[in-house]
Amino acid sequence: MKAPRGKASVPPVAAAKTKILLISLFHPELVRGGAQQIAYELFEGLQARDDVEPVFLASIDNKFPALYKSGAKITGFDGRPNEFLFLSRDYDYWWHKTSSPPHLEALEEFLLQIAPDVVHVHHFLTLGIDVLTLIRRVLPACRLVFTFHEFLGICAADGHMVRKTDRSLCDHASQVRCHQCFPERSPEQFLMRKMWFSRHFENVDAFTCPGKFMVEHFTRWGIPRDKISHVTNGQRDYAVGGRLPPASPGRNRFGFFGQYVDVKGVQIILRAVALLRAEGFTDFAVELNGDNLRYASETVRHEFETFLAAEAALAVQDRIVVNRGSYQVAQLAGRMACVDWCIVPSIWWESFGLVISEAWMFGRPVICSNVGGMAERNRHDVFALQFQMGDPRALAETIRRACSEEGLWDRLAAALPTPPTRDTMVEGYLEVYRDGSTEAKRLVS
Amino acid sequence: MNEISCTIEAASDFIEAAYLAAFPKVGEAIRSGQFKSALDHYMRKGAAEARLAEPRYQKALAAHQSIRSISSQTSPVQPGQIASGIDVFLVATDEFCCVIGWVDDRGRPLEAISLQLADGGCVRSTQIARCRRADAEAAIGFSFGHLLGFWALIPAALDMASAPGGLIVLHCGDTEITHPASPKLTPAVTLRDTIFEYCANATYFGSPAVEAFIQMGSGVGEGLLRQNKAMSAAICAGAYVERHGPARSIFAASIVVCLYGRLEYFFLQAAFFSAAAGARDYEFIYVCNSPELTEGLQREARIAARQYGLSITLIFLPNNAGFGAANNVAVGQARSDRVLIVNPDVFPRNTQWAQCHADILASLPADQTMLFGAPLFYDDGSLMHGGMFFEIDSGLSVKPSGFIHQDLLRVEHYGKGAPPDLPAYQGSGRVPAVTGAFISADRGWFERLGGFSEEYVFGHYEDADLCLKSWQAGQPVWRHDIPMWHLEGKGSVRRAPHEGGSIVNRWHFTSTWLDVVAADFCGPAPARIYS
Repeated sequence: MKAPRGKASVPPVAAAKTKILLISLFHPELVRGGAQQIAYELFEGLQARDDVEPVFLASIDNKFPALYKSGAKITGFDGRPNEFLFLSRDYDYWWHKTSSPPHLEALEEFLLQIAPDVVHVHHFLTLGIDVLTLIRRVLPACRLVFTFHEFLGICAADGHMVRKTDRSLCDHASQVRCHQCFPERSPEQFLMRKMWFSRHFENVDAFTCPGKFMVEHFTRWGIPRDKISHVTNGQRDYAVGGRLPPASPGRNRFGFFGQYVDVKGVQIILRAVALLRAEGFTDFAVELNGDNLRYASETVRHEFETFLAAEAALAVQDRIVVNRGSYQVAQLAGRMACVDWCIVPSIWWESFGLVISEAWMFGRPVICSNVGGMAERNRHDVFALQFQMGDPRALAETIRRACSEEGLWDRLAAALPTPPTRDTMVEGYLEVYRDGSTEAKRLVS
Repeated sequence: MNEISCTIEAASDFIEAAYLAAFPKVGEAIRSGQFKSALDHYMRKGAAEARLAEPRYQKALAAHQSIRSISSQTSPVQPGQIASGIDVFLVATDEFCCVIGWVDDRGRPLEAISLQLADGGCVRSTQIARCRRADAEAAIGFSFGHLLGFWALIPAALDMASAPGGLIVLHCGDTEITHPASPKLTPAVTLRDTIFEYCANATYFGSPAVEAFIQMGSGVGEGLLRQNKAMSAAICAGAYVERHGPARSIFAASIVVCLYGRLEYFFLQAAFFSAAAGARDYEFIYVCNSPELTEGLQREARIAARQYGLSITLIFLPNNAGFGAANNVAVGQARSDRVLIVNPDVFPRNTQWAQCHADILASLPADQTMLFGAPLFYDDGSLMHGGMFFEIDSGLSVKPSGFIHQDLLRVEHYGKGAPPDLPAYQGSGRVPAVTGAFISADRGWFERLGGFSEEYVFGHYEDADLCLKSWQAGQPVWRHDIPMWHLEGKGSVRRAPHEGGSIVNRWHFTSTWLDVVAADFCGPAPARIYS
């Protein structure tokens, strides 16, 4: 990777405001997901300031044909100022590139029209990793910032760094290791993949990631340590400062919030419940809040559906697990009010875990896997409980303890930290924008 | 056609020739000793993978059956007559034609094949190659050691469409066997591919390599080379050229890449080569032997020119002209005095390649840079190529009548698989030859040598041939340090006809250069360089 490039003086685009272009995969109001949610939180946070002018460009794909205007490659979004949609097409999901010249030409024109001082890219999916090179060529003086929301730059297996061979966590990529996960692809292809990504990452001035542990993964992969830093994700306070009282006298109601896909580990909860039931321990409840079971593997989908069907066949008083389905942010308070604990059983690294912050907002201690962003953020037995990732028996024992240990919930809940705020995140990113940017440095003064 | 009919009921539609045509890698696996035969592969692996149900097998099977349906034009055999059959009579209008069949010519050898045309014309060919025919052996109650199969190349332009009918006559001693001529009209390239695929799958008694040489030497090899060269020339005459990116009248050098079958290497090379300072002083010329890539290549060139600011020339050929001819066409479009012949799966190991190349040209005497290669590395970091040398294999074919000896040239790479920092392969040095995966050549010298020899079929040996031409013309070949990755064999697709082409190429290369190599260039420390 190259050293940070020297900066030319920033063109006098605006007299006072620094223009910041945020590029995100998907618009969070069209496709839910952590990366786009954070990108949009940042956009809203920057909008609240009077010293910067943010512009938001989000990609969409052909799941929204009605939003594709004939012949257009970039359009506005729902009449909102400074929000635009990149109408992605011909995307190559292996090389992560757009194969449509008119789209790249439109993006070039857009960049020249917006003329941002800072371009901050949140993910490359549906846009293409090679747009980084295009941005650098079109805007040689801009500060180019890239945020990793997972490990897709390193890992072709959906960026999870979970080995497809045995579902164990992977801590580094290599040609042979990656070939083992994708036997149909030769080791050479993974050398090229790494070269391809490195080639385009070379254009970036600063990388950020929401998990501190992620810095190690990326520096080991090849990102220079002096170019990557940790900036926490932050959200506005959905609880509006008010933590909820416990949901039950026994502190024995547990909630899952998130996607019903393999790596989020909802199946680990179901297996833990089955173990506890078999042991005769049934005085607790689990509420599942989420969606996207269709994206789970056949195995997990079958397990989920079979379990819930069996659960539904039980007498009401014998049921432990209930599926409450998807929810919007506005419904979060109501859903959180029904549980005492929030279980985050992910079986991948989990870069940050927005649901952890949301649990804290509502005063819910977290029970989580003991790896990655979950372990980094949740201090075991101080304000959270950790269990061995992927182990239903370990989770079962933790649930039993949470239900049984006198005063545990109160002690942990009292020690819960305040989740990082949106303002904290905005300040963090402004620091990154300032570093090296003549124009942005003006903000400091 | 040689074939093995599978005896297990579940695989009643297993046909060896179709299986090998559909899955070319099976042929490679057999040659490398992993499997004994296509049937062995099918029974150990292919059946579990349901390969016979795959569309590509079904397609190959259909093509095979189409040939077989014509094939059984076997004349009824009367006592004292010669049993024979014509599998297929392929005619490429205005080009040449080919007869594939078998004949039990024990005692009365097949000497010629003639076509007696309906319009009264007659053409005759003695360019006949022989091979085993397991099915014919079974049909006639086989006697060991005799090659019943034949295929003959007939270099004649036949207008079978306007004058259908006629006879195919097999001349066996003083006996003539006639078969009705039922021509199957086919594009010339399809005929070419059919012949080379047949060549690749042919089997013999004794050493396959030696026996193939003997067959090529019967005249059919020369005919194949002539036809191939003529066809390549016709394909190259239809080249279409378009340019993308910044226009300049002259560049520091021209990087010439021949694409075949795979598109992604185009944008990967554009990305990796463009990362170097000075890369924009080079132009990139891609000549495409795969017309099906045309649209994608145009699209990617438009993107690459925009993203990387590269000057890119695309040359589209209407069919596969082969490596040598395609590169020669591309060199003709170069706007510089220096050409770099680069394979699509070659990438710079660092971002100094352009400066490094410029420094070599500027600092070394001209006779060290007229034609040079570079060290190439595998993806695992080990050396793949530090130059090439030649070995002479002593081929021996065991026959009932005795032994047949044939010298065969083999090309080897210095340091293949060696640690990357071995001193022997560091720095500059003279070498017998360098791989066509990366050659930097003075354009004038390249053209004075006649470029790549275009007789070689598809691609193989023309790099070694070029280097030997350079040595013979008085300019040594060098290796200089511009480290490159080479994902050997990954840059294009390899199909069954290519294997047949390799057989012909090795025969041609040996025929052309055996004496020179034996005198001056044999072994890793040849006399011409180390004496």
